[in-house]
Amino acid sequence: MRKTLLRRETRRWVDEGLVEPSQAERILNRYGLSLNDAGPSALGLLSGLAGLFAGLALLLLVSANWEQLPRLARFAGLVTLTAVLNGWGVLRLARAGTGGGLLFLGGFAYGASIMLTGQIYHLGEHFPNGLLLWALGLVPLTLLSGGRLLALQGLAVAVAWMLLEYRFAAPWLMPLFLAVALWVAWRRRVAGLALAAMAATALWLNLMLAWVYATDFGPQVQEGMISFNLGLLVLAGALAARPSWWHAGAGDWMPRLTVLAILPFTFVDGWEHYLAYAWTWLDPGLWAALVALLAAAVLGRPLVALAVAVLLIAVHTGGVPDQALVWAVAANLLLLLLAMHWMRRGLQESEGGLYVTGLVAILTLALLRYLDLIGGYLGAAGLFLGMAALLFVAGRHWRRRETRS
Amino acid sequence: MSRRRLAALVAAVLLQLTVLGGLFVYSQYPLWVGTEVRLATVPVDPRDLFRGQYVRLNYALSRQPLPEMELPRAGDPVFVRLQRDGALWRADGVRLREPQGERLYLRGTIDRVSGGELHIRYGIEAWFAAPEEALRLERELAEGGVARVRIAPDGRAALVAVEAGGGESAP
Repeated sequence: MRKTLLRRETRRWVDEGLVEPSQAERILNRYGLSLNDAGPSALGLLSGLAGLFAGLALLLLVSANWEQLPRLARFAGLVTLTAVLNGWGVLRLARAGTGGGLLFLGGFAYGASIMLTGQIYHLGEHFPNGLLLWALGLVPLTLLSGGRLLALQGLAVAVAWMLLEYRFAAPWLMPLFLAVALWVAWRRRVAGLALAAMAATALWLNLMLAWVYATDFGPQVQEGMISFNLGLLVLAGALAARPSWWHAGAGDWMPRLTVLAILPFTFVDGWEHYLAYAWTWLDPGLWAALVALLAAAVLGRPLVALAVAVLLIAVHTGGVPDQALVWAVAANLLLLLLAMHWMRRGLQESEGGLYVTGLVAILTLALLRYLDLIGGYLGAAGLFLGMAALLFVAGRHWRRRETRS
Repeated sequence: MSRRRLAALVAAVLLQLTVLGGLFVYSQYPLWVGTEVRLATVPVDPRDLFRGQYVRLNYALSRQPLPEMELPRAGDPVFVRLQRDGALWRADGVRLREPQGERLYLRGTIDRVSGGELHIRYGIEAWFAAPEEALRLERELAEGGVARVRIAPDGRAALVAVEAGGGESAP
């Protein structure tokens, strides 16, 4: 359930005398909320966006490369701006406990100063180094201020550095930036930042795996990475369930992510490719996936982790392209079952988003299978009949259980 | 807020300013102590997302034959000896170890190894300019130009100016 909705409903129950304020407070505390929290306001979001736009304007002003202003004056101006914005931010932080917006802008001024130096001295050398200096310079201030926007800026710059750098060398410094973002997310209970940091972590792990597959031509993307990402998906599912503040903000994303991850496997072509090129049990992607699945099992998803581990080992040791149709049909049925499960949970728990995710997944599956005719006309007709039977039986089963309860 | 935390915050801001100062000195060093050489170059005009429009400078010495008895890899530093050839300077041998007590040489990084050649970056491949200026330079230098470069004793180079047919663009 969304945090704002939960807080609003709980306040209403207190007003109507249904629960005591102390009970309501305890309920809300489970989700990192409080009765006294200010209501949702667009001010914070819009202020953050305003800061982002001002920062981009600053970068574009640097890019404009005005010859009318002496370059040294421009550099001195930007360094002064960095000092003033950060100094002012620190002062406000010390006096009033605020100032995150100023430090966010100060971070942009610092980054723009680095870019300007590169411009003034025509530094055509390894460009990602500029971004690395920017991200590194933000780390101490982010840790000390705990600023959410500053953490987000640092993470965005670090991800840009990682994407530019990985073709030349494995981005070993990335865990530092990920740890800083996750620490701020945990300390300030910001699910959005935690979600962004987790996504960046998954991306980093993939790029590092590409370096495990590297040849003389640099890092390589291999089919074994599909196996690894399936392992990561199960791990993400286990992590999404805890802690409650993170689950309340990011838990909604898991079913959507699962649909996006499974959809490519509902195509026969996808399986043919995967089964043909996934290496044997020596594939680093398989072993990386098994490590992720072990972590998922420890974090409370042992059955799903075991099922996916068996599936991956089967694919890597006995999978051949001739089995593609069977695997694709199984993936279609699995997605259908999951979608039905989400729809039912959505209805039972009044989770509109979950219900819609399930419905959209089923309709997308129907459209895709109608268009690509898996197994030819008769094969597709058989699959649709099977799906219809599954839907009908599930509906009857749930109806019977609801009647009993 | 405790005095200690405030001091740490101020130190974090000072760290940023120190990084900027260090970057300034690092960039200025070859211009302070370097020897000036002139290199033939051909420009093209792309845009950098953070630093704006620039003229990308291609040099003949950006591609060098593989050094004998050495195994170069992308990302490795590389050192190119320079030899005067009339008004211009050209490459005269490549090695992967820093030369000791030698005459003028350029320090670069191997971008990639392909076709039996090293593709090298020296950090002097970009000339940043206002958009109109960048386009003008690209037009004027279409047939090739000359880059004036200062090279520090450790081989690091910095661009001073880009010239066309004796004319000079402001640094």
